[in-house]
Amino acid sequence: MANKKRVVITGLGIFSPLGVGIGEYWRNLLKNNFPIKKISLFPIGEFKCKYAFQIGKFKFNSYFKDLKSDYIPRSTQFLLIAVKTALKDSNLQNKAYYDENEIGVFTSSIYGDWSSNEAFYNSTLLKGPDSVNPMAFPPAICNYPSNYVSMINNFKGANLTFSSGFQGGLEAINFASSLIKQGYIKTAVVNGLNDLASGHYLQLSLQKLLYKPDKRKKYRMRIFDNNRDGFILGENSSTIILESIIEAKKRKAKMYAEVLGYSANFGKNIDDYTRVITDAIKDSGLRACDIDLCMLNANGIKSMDSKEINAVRTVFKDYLNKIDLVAIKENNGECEGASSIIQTLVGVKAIHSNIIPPPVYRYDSLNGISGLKLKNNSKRKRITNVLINSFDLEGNNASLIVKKV
Amino acid sequence: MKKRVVITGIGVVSPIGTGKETFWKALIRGKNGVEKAKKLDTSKYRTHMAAEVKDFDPKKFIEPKRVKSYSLLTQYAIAVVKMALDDSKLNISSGNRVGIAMGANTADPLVFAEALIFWSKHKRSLTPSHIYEKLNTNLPVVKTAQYFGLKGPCTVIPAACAAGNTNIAYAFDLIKTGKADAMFAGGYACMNHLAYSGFNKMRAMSPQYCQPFDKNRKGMIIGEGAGVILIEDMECALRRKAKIYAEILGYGLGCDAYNPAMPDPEGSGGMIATKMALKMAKVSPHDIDYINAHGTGTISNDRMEARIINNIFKSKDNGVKVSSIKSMVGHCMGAASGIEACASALIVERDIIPPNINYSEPDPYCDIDIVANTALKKRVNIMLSNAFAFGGDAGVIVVGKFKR
Repeated sequence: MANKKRVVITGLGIFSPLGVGIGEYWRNLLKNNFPIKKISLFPIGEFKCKYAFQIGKFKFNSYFKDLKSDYIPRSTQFLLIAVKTALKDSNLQNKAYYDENEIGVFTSSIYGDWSSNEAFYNSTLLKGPDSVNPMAFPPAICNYPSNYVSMINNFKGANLTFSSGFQGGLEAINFASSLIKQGYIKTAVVNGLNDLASGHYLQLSLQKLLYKPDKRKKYRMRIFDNNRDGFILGENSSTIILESIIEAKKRKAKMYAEVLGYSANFGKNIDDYTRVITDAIKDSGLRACDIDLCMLNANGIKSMDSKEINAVRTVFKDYLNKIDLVAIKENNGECEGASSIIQTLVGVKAIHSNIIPPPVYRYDSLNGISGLKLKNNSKRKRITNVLINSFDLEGNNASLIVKKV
Repeated sequence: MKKRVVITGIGVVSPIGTGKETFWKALIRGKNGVEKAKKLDTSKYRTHMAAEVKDFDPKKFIEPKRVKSYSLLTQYAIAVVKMALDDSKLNISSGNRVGIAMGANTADPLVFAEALIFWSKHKRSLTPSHIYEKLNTNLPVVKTAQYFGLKGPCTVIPAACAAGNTNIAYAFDLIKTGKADAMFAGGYACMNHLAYSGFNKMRAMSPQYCQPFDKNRKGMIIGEGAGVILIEDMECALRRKAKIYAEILGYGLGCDAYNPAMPDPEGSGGMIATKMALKMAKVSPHDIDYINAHGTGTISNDRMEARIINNIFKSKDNGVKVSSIKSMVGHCMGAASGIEACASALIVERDIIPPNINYSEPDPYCDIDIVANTALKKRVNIMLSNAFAFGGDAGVIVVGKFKR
């Protein structure tokens, strides 16, 4: 493949309960930590699930000395910090390395900032238009966090927010890669963002999608457990930096992995899951036997997890003893719009370090109902090609393939 | 990247009419869709005008027994997709490669408002399912995909007032890269207090009409509706002998990176998007016959856009005509550039440029060649449609006459 058509990942950044920056996050992930906390952002008295992967108190000004945090919504602060850590990781802090007009920002977030939206509506509807602060209006629009990243960094290339669902991050990666391949931008800052907001928490709770603690009051997402019954929400902002391989080589950037193939479709059946995985492998020019690791969508929702495993079983039928399956939502929670970016970030780091973080699953036809055998420790293995699956609750599906450069 | 992408279906719900032909007739007649708002109580606001949809009957597009299960926003989305589908005569049951990409500003604002009012009066845990099940931003698009049994990519890009063009750009890319054969692409919006209150408080709204590029303009008028075009791989369209309205030649995207609420006076994001669109379409500024302006009728937006048009196209010297249909349909927010894409396809097909109504005195800072008050018969081979959103997002598409 000609160099100009290749897109590589040169930076990883994250702001999450597991850590700030890829180094700290990765260390805690390998230790199989799961930093669940009792939700303190809003009252949760009426609901059974009272825990989440909530980001604790943090000092925004220790990351951005010149910005007034009072005027920046909490979720936008997450995003700015994640982007900052990614730019640092990719050594793109130095403006000599890029043209601001050729950097795009692509953010997957289901609501933008729900809390700002709710606050703005509340003042308009309940207190009347006179109580409205005009500066509270822009943060109520979905694309605000992503725009803020462009504004603070003066990135003038395309700026898009994907609110399609959990798989929005993979859509963002695919579109950003396409623009880089065509030469319309040179660099893309691709983000996932999810924060805890009371209204959304309520919505998921009423939809009975949230985990209920078992009799032992043990709070841990029980992915693939026979008694699993939902997910625990997670807050997170994560960022990956995409560049054309030419630009990356020119500035001698570290190259974590290459973006290779992608597919998206719509539907909630096993056939739809199978088709999206198969099409992504085909798009990447690989065969099923070439995949070493699959970053699962698995989030503890029984019907979805079973369908995903059945789809994986169908696609990799002759190679199931070769492929490792990782379900990192157990350690991060379901981070919705951010989830597929975190999965990509972990898959990419696994390629780069040749370490698979826990929990690792292997298919074992003799073991249990799901046929999956769990290993709770990290694992060393040379990894070349990684499949990332992301399936939204409503039927939006996407799969992405990344490979060692 | 050699695939070509053509427009084969149009679906529109607008303040000046629902359906392609009703919309078109009103457009070239210069019909003003702005009236005193009826769908919102505006008594506490500074302004009271709106461009509301007046002739929408959901039962014409949705099975009557299912109408109530959808919010108004979802009804708009389903209606425009149904119109575009019927118009294109595409058989979607024959394949898995037809998808949808549409967007708005936020999650469904009417459902959100209903939720907040309910929560202010009752225990939150008693929220009825018709509210909590519809709160996700992606719901109108997901429900539309489910309604028609679409199996291709299903995407929601809420790029505010540039949502239509941004989703068209994304859908175009999926077809060009072979990831879909056909996509419904556009945007939707309904009258709501979020937008009305926000823009009112920012003093961006006109108390009377919308007068883009006029010296005496007083601001924008909030509108509503939905617009979708069905775009298709040209080979697929030709194979099934579809009617082709026009070809999408390219798109451009950029960002002002300037201010959350104000456009960059220099128009940096729009400039980048316009240059990218021309480059992708492989056309020069001299090839452009007409620009469907974003033209909201606010001083800051109009002057910024006029600056871009003059810098790149030298509108008056080169005879590049400009008009803003927002003078008729208002600013339909997330639906704006979707509706304008429908208009663009018809303009290129029929060689008539709709007027910029309510235009009496040129703003000297907007020295561009406006098609004032009356439609203009002119051959339009290639045109641009601009969308510049809140937060600085810019999306521009290039539409051309289809030639084999």
